[in-house]
Amino acid sequence: MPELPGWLAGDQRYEPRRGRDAFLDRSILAFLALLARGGALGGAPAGRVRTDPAAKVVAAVVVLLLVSLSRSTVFLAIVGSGLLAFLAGQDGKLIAGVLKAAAAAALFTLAVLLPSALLGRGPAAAMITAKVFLSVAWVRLVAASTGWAAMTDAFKRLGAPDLFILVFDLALKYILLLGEFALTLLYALKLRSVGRSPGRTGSLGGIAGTMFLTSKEMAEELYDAMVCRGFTGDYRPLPRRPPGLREAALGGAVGLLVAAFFLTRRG
Amino acid sequence: MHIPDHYLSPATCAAMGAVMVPVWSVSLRKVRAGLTRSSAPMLGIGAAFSFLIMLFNVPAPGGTTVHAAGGTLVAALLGPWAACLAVSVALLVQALLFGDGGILAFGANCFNMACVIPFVGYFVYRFLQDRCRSERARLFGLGLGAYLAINLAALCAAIEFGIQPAIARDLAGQPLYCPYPLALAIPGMVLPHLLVAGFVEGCFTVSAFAFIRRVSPGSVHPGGTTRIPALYGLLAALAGLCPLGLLATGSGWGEWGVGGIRTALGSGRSLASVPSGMLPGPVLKAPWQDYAVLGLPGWVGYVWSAFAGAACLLVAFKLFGRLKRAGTRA
Repeated sequence: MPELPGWLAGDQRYEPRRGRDAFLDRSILAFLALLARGGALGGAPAGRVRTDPAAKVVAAVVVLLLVSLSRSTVFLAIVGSGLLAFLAGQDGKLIAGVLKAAAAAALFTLAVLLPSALLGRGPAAAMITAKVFLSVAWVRLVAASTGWAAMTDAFKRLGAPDLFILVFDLALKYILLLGEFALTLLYALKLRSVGRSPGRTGSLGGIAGTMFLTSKEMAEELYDAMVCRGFTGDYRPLPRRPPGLREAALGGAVGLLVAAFFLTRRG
Repeated sequence: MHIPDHYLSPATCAAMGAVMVPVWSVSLRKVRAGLTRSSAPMLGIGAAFSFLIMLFNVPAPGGTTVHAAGGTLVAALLGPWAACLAVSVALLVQALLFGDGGILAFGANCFNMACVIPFVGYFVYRFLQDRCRSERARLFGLGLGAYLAINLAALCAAIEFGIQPAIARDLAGQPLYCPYPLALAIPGMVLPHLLVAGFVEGCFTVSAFAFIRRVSPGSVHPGGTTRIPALYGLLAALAGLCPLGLLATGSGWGEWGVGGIRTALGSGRSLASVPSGMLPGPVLKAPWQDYAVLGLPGWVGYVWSAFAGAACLLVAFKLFGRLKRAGTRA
């Protein structure tokens, strides 16, 4: 009977050094959050806003323009109260999401502008921070209260080129598909990792490369599938609904904001 | 009835704050325990009702103005503990953003308007509701509760004003804070409320309650249909009509500025000097003091303040409801 080789017969005690999976765990959680948000985007609108998406996009652009042009704190206060009035009709989850995103952007801006504020430009720094808060909150409110199909429809009705809409549409769907794919790869890496692994960052590079290659294949397959189903590159908008009370109210609110902008120009 | 800063001594402010802390604590606990997905917006709506109704100033005998508080209505809809919390937050928004009511006197204002009014109004309403058979009599009971509650709150405010000359004096024996004794403060505060504000509060409470019961029965009786948009419509109408409150000139008793307090006695009588404790000190200036927005006409600023304040309360209570649900899940 052949004897076992010495290296196999020896007592084996493998006690890996404790590794920390914080980076992997954080990445997995980030992708899960992204997918959860994507799921909400894909379904019905998360909020209670049922206004025409095209009207919402136009209103948001006008508000952003006025906010960026205004140098009056009174006008910013008026825009802020308008934001509060729109938020008041939404549910708590959407309100929290909008305010969290806006607060994060405003805090980052404040941190960047802190040296300028300390050098005596406090009012200007405060105004820019307020502008960032309001702009992000308005955009987030429109995005969170509009499903992605409705957003695509809005872009088409506003005259955006079909190629732009195609890229936008595919990008949104790919965020979901590639997110799921990346999540699978991250789980696989986590399962195969025992203890401290010095080459883990290299593995993450592998994930990125694999994702790029996969996305290229998936894009080609998706485009071929769309062509097979008769897609010619044209997006046709849904039949237009006549503007209702909500659109009129939104138009009135934007009109009042424009009037307030000119009234407070010297403020 | 909004007591400004410097009218009450720091000791009175601290004592009233100390009285309110356990009340807030219990109401917070009770509201959190009973909070559901639908009751959080109702809390915000109750607070917004109270905030808006306080903007409607009505002229009263003696050249002063009075306003309703809406505390009994909120208590009849949500219960006294929830009403206490809702009216307290409405008063906080008024004090911090619009300078209506003092920051130091916040505890005293809450005691009068967020504690006395909801509890007295609610218990009178419940007492009569259990003993009345007809719907009209029950509504009368609600109105009576609102009338008695606001008058008792005015009496409390008058006592807080009136004891100042007795408890806070300088070395020369002159009052440091509100200079009017109980003999002047009680009739000054209570008479306008007995004659005008009580009836305004009663009528508003009954009519708003009847309207809410008709358009959104679920907000009054459990199991009925709750139509939140109808309530938002009522709030928007109140906010749009609030400039009517500006038609009444003058200010409420005990809400004068330093210049006004010297001649507040009327009939040619005036104080020899302004009490030293009332002279302007380092006070927090509210961003939109007296509901005025710089650069905008007065009535526009008033409407803007009404919408902004009400929206602020609605958003705050929806976030509160969300925090509570997140806490329950954790």
